[in-house]
Amino acid sequence: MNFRKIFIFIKKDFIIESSYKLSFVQSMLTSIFPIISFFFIGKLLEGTSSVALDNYGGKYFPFALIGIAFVRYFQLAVDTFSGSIKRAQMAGCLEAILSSQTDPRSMVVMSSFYSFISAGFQLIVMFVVAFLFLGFEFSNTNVPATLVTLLVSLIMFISLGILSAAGTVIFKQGEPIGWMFGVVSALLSGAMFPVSVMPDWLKDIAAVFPLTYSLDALRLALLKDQSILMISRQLVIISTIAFALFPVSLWVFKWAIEKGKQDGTLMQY
Amino acid sequence: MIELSNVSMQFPVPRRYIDYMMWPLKTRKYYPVLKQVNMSINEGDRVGFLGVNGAGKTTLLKLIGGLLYPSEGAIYVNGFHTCMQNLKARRDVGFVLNEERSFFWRLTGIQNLEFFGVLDNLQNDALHYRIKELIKLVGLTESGDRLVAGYSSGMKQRLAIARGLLADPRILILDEPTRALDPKAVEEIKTLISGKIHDQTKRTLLIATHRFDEVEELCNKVCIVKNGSVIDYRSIVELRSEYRTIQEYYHHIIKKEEQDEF
Repeated sequence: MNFRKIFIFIKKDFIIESSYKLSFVQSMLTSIFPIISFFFIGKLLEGTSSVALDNYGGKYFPFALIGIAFVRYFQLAVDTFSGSIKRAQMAGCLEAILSSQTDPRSMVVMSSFYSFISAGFQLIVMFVVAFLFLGFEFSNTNVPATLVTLLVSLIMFISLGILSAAGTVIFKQGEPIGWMFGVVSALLSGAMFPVSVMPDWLKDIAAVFPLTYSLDALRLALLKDQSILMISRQLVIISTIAFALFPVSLWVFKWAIEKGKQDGTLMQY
Repeated sequence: MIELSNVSMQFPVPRRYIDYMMWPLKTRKYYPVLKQVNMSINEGDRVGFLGVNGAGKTTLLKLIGGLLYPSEGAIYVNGFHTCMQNLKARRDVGFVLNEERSFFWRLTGIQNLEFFGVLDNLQNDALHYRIKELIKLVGLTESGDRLVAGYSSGMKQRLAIARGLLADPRILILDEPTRALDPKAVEEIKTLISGKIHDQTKRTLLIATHRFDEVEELCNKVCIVKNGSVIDYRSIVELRSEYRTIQEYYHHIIKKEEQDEF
């Protein structure tokens, strides 16, 4: 993997994406509208006290904003790799790309860079809108803890994303990892409500999902000024999963491509 | 030099969800696509692969190009094993896919070549020089800056040839290069392949085709593939002593094979 190759993927995706002008505007609006809805839900809940929210500053809107914004971003990390494989399969470009002199693992990683830049931009826009117009504050934010949490979480979700891409190569449609993350994990990991309000048996299930720890750590760092040391329990869990999963995911993806080459099913979708 | 030794390929029979649900542990069934292929192709050879649809021509070429791995046997391209040393084996192979959609339609022809050129490890000035050279070679100088979406089938085929030649490979695989083209475009592509691509560089060309005239004009060897087996492989000079045309040779060999089978 080198910078020229990363740049050419970004350039290609930018040219294609910017040629669909309405799509760009729509994706911006799609990221902003939900936070406005949750701003008003927060207004509705103002004055009511919740012990569950006290750990995160006591207000619902900042809690929900972090949940929505980061689940969306991490969801992208999980979906982007399989999405780029599916798009290349459907567009008929996959075989042409795989017949080039670049390793398929580098290829799948590089094909996702533009999505991360674009979604990162949307993430920033969401927080800027919330800061400028909806009363979100960064006064209790611990920047190093936030950045470290974001980084290790991204490595973890990118690993899941590469596994998901391997699933797409093997299963074509209906691969289980993206679904697991998108539907089950986003529901149970406390994106919209604190995990502590759930019954104990659901809390146990939530504890299995890495997203629970990422959101918890991000909220504590962004809303309660907690340092890296204070959120070390969550960081250790996320880092362990991230650094164990990353090499495994690359190995599984390589295996999936080779299996596709053996079975002749690489181009099927 | 390309060596195929006892190469067989089988594809899995697709299973429906109901099959997975009812018999999850049932072993997968496979159907053969290529059976025990042995052949060697020398440097500079121009081999035409003839056979009906589904005979196994494209699979054979994809195996040589390292896009598929054989179920049995081994393929060596310039001494490199296509499974064990896939990247090295592919280094000297250019692939001209017959898939019109294998380009990014919202990019220009030049932008597409730039993208694939970088993936082929070409660097800055060398890449731009190569693209300029190839665009001229395939006759797309006027339309290189146009979006691929506006290209005709013939233009996309020319662009596919330019893409296949980006890394200046010693072996060029062309999968039905004139499929779906009008007679004028067919002639232009044939002239391009024979005149500019082979004669100037003496590259090895492997061409899967249904057109006898294409084999006649572009190739020095013919390989007939039927039901996954290579039933005949010989030089055109050799077959000239027995047959007047490639068509006559092809029909004779197929008929003989059917009689033997019967």
